[in-house]
Parts: sequence; C-alpha cells; structure tokens
Amino acid sequence: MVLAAPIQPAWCAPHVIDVLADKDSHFKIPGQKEKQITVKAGEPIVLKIEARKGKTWSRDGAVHGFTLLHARDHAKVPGWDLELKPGTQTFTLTAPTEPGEYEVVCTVICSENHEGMRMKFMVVP
Amino acid sequence: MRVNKISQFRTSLLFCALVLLATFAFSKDNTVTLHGSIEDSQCAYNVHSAGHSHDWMINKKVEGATDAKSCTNHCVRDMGGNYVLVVKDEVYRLSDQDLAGKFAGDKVKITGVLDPATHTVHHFTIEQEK
Repeated sequence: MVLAAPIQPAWCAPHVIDVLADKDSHFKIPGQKEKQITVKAGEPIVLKIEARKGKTWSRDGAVHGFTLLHARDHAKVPGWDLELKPGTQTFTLTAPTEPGEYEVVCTVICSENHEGMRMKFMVVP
Repeated sequence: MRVNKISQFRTSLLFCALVLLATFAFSKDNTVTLHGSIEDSQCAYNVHSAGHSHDWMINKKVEGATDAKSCTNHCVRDMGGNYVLVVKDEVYRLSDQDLAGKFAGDKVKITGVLDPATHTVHHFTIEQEK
C-alpha cells in the first residue's frame, strides 16, 4: 500500500530570509546589493540573522536590535522587536498584514553609526 | 448526583480561593517602590553609559537628542526603543509604556509589582520627583 504524503501548498511554506547585522552597523542581505526586504502581507517568515558585535553593545549582551517600524509614523509592529546576541539566531514570524513601507532599525547603540543602521522593509499585497 | 454537584462546587470554590491567595501573595511580596528616572532602553542598556546614559548620544550631536527628555523621546519614538526606569545602574522594564512616556527624562517615584524573572514593573503608579 502506498500512502500519499500530504502536499504542502507553496503559500504555506515560510519565506526564509537571511540577514547579516554586521559589526560596521549595517544590515546586509547576503547575495543582494540592495538593503531591502520584500515580503507578502501576512506570509509566514523565518528570519535567520547573524549578528556581529560592533564597537559598543548592550549591558544585557545584545549587540544589535532588529525592530520593525511603520515608515509613516515609526510605530512598532507587534512581535517584531528582536534583540540579537552574537551569532546566528532564527525567528519564526508573520509578515505584517497591512501592505506598505516599513523600516527595520537597530535598537542597541552599537557604534557611532548606530543611528544609520536601518533597512527598508516592503510589504506587498 | 446531588452529592457530585456539591463536591464539584466545593472543588471550584477551593480552586478560586487558591488562585486569589496566590495572586494576593505574589502582589504583596513583589510590590516595590523605586526612585529613578524614565529613560529609553537604548541609552539605559548601553554598556558605556551606566549612570550617564544620554551623554553618548548628546555628545555625538545626534539630531533630536539635546537633553535627557528629547534624547529619551527620540530613542523611543524614532528608533524603536522602550521607556525604562533607571535606578543607579539597574534598569527596570515598564509594562505601561504610555504612562511611562508622560514622564520621559524625569526623575520619578514608581510603585508597582515587580516580576523578577523579566525585571519588569507591572500595575504601577508614578509620581514626578524633584
């Protein structure tokens, strides 16, 4: 007897995104020149972030933050307030349901360039 | 049948009493009064900033950060930080961010219930101090 394995629809598979939170206070997407993440509204996401310690860090051991804000008013997106310890961490998340422009910011003072550690995050329908 | 119902009722009553007792005991044991200042998590947790949190940002002439109040609000409103209570070198997270934000940069007295596991103060009242 042959049992058919359940077929997972493509839209159910999580969108895996690799990010480097680098020691020079820049978010980088390996294999991509542009510093931007684009996701579909409400899709499941697996975020794999490698964090490298910059010049300064947080007293609780975090070397960078990865927090998602609405671009229009800088309001935080619930569930997207991540603290990054050195090394690679994986987060299972859901993309915002509202299409539009968002921004990823670092929430740990990581160097003199901390204020510029930002990345565009687009949510498309 | 009737005996069963009475027994169930008694069990429920006992359970409720235990929950109430536990809640009361938790809140009573962990009620704290703290004197400190409302700052942002970024400056407060910075490894180099213990005791003089905002100097780093102000000295770098970061736009929007000219004193304790403006620096705190900038780091929370524009940079994704959280309002926290700083007591000397200790940093406490605060559950009610809207309430804490009204006292950004101020010296305050906070009375609330401390969750030691997360170092967060819940259900707090806050008064400005000079």
